[in-house]
Amino acid sequence: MGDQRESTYLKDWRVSAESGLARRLENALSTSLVYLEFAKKSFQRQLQYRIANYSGFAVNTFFFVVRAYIFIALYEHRGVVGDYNVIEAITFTGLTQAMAMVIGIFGGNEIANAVKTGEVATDLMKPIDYQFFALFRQLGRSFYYLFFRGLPIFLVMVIFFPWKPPHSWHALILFFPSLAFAAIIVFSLSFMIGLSAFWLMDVRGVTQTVMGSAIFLSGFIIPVSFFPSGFGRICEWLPFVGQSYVPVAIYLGKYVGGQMISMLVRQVVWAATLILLGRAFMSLAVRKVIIQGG
Amino acid sequence: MYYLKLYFSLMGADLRSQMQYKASFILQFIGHLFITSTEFMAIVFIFGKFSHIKGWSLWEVGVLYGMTSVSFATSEIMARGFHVFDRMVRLGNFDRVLLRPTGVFVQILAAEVELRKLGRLLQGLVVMVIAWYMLRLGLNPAKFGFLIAAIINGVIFYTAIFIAGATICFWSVESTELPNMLTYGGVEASSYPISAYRGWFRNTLIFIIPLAFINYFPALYILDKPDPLGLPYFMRFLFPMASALVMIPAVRFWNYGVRHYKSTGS
Repeated sequence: MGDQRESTYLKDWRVSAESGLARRLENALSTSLVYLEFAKKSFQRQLQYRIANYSGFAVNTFFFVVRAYIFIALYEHRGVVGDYNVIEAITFTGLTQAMAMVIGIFGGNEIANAVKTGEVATDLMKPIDYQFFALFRQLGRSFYYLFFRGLPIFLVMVIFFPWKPPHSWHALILFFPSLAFAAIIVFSLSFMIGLSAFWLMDVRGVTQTVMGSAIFLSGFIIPVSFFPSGFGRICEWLPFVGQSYVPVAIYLGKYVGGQMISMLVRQVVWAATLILLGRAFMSLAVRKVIIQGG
Repeated sequence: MYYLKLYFSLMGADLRSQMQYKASFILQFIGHLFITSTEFMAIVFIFGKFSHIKGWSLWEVGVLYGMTSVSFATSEIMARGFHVFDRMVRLGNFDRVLLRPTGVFVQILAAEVELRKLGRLLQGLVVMVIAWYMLRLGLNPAKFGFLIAAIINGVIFYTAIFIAGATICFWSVESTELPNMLTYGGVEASSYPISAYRGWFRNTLIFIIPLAFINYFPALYILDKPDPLGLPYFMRFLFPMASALVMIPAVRFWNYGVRHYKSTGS
């Protein structure tokens, strides 16, 4: 009797374990599909803003042309400066302008606004992870901008200016994952800034200071190799170069071999660290919502 | 005179409301000071590697940068209402403005004072003063007067762009970035000598969007530099005409827009 009971017990346990695992897998699959759905939705929403995209394209192109001409003028009678020749410098500008909206380098005030209007409370109530929700919303946008902003600007460069194709096949292939991690790093920074709206009345000052210095330190405006060398070397250990310089430098073959791997690893580690930091920050913020009673 | 008084009293009201949030103002002021400083820092880094562009040294470029930055900042502070006009149209607040028995233009102009942009203004002034000192320009009253006139001209130019940009909002509810091309983009482009650009692009910046008149031509006079483009000497003195040529159509466009305004009904 005792034995029998024990064996049914064991059987039950085994069955529940199996179905638990299956269920968990199924859950994971369906939740990731939900997040992909958020990305798709934000991609589709972006498609509606056609005029905004045209005008943004004009602005990015204007900046590209101005900076390209400035580099051409600077390089007059000069060969290689700061490890770049003039064609690489032009390609640097073209790529950064093409990437600007893909990585969302200027940040956004979406999350801060959601906190300010109280909209965030309903988002937090949903049975989804708020950070992942916001991340996938951003990635959907990134994907949109890759085709509808980045590619056109890249083509402007290819048609009207001398440019450099990717350094190698590896460079081309690794450029895209590096670009994705760049977008994730920018997102996780601006996510935390947005959450600071739980404590601050007005986050614009913080947004400007942090995003602005991040843009400068990221090697978005000028290549990191144009920085004074000691300063540049420090910057290569900071998360900000992962926001835009790493993919560009990989494309141009400024980071190759071991250094390329090392820069990619730093980028991934920083992305993971900042995402985790954002989660910690989020749980603090959520506690504050509960204290305030929503 | 009446409008001037109205402008200042409206501005004063907005200032008082902003000063209720002192900490926020101070943070944003510092933020702006810091961020716009990185703009010039990038120029300093570039000149660390290249030393000159088209025969212009770092501090000569500093004069160009300072002039355009001070003009732009002043315009941003004073004419902020036009900069955020799209929001006003979208929210239907513009209907309220139209109902008030006084000038529409002055109400928008004074709708908001962007005091935090004092950060950029201060930064531009600091660059200007350092450049002036490094170039040993001294206290030449003629050059000084010229500088101030040119900066006022620049303020008018940027304000005209803000006005024209705001007018687009009468037809498109989508907020458009297009004015940014000539405001932020204008600051970027005019931070370097116009002679750095080429072909039709340069001609556009001189003759169509007269960006070159904000600081390039006046700076040629202040710095006693020859014009590598070989344009006549009197171009250096034409700048007040350039800003008038931009402002008059901008205001006309605006008036046309106001006449054809249809409320969103929200």
